[in-house]
Amino acid sequence: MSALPKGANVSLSKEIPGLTGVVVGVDWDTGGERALGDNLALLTLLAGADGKVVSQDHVVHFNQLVSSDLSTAQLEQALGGDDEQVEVELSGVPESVQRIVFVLYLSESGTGRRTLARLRSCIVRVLNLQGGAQIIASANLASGLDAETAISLAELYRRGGEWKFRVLGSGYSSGLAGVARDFGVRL
Amino acid sequence: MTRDDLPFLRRRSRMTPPPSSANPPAAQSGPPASPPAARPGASANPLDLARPDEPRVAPLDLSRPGAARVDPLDLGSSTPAPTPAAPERTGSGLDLGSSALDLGSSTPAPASPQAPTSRHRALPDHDLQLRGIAEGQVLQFTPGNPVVQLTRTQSAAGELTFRAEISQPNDLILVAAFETTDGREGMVVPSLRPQGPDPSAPILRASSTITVNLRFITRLRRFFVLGVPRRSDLRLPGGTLVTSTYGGARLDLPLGTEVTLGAKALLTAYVVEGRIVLRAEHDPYSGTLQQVCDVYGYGGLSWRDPFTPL
Repeated sequence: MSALPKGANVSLSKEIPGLTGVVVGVDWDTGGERALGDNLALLTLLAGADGKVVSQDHVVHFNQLVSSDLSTAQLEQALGGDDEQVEVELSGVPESVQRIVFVLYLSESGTGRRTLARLRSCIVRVLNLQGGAQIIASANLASGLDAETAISLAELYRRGGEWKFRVLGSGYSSGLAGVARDFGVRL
Repeated sequence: MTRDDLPFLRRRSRMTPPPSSANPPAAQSGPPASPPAARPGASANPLDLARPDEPRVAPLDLSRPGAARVDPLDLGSSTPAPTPAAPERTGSGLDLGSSALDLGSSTPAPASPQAPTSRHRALPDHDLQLRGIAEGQVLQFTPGNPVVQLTRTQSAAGELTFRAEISQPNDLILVAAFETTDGREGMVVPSLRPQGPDPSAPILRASSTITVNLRFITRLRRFFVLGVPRRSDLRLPGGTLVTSTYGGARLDLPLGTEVTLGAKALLTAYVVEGRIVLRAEHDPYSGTLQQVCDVYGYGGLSWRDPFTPL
């Protein structure tokens, strides 16, 4: 299957009948700029129908690696070529969670005026949690970034009893603060 | 009054004034960073805040949460799930000597329905019964309420900043000592050693403020902020030490005007299960920078003189 562009979606449940879980991997290239690479972080937000996280324990990141329902977990050390990976046990996601959104942001400390404009590439992959076979990958989401310091990469979402995957690629010039405001994360 | 909440303070004795030749840190080109130092054995476990005469609890495993480690043999049948986010606590942080930080006695939350089948392990989630702070909120540290705990997300967002709000900015220098999770101790001192532990990827920075880059919080075990008065009489300048979070929360610690022996501990911080626990020390004692670091358990630092770390 070709790379999914921004806005495109695919039904994971149809692609892989009986799918129980996925690994969402993010692979980025900073062109060797250490200050940028060191301060990038992945945020996974388990949101309800109102678009807000269902609780502050449903925010997964490098310092809170597992959602309180245990369905979603960021790996301490990503496998393969990805920089970060998040495992989602789809069958364990509470019904109250309608979307799981993956956000890449630049942690705002010691980064000066850096933005994601220096990001050369950023690709999201979805793997089958059982066996690790790749199901789908996004197109390069780094193109077109300028003053943004955060970008919502992709989401898993429920639709008609299925789990679907959509590539987002929408940036935030307000960084983590803007993301937190949109999703109700308390900082 | 004898403090019994921090065991290593039992080693404290009244300080002698520093030698007249010992000056506060001056701008100079510092030598190479001090080699990695072993953790001070005398201070033992910095998280063991139980009373000295009480049985010690088992040391807490503060390694990175292993929650995301996949263990195919772990069916999670006995893994408790954490409770939903607790609202801000209003309980007093005063009673640290008895049970507030006794991690061995708190009760894990009941298991969630998903726990038995998940391949993921719940995060450690001992309830420390400490007050928190909401974004945008302003709280004051007082002797009766000296402790605040940040959430894991607050402890990972942006940076934590410590700033002295005083009438004459040059009257007080802020410095910080720290210990990383791999046991390295170090200091950041304005002009002398402004970044640490790795200047190319610093966690702490010292200039007119102390900043902690929370992207690296998982590499930090503890740190503390000290004030070094620059007045000729070594008197603290008054004013306020302001701690700011990325979310705009502010924690104010009023500074005294008492005469010191050269340096004074202002605020200590421990990373407990991913959460930063800040404690205003309100400590009547002072000493040289080296003496204060030593009594607060940073005995692994090396010194050129009592005010200049290597």
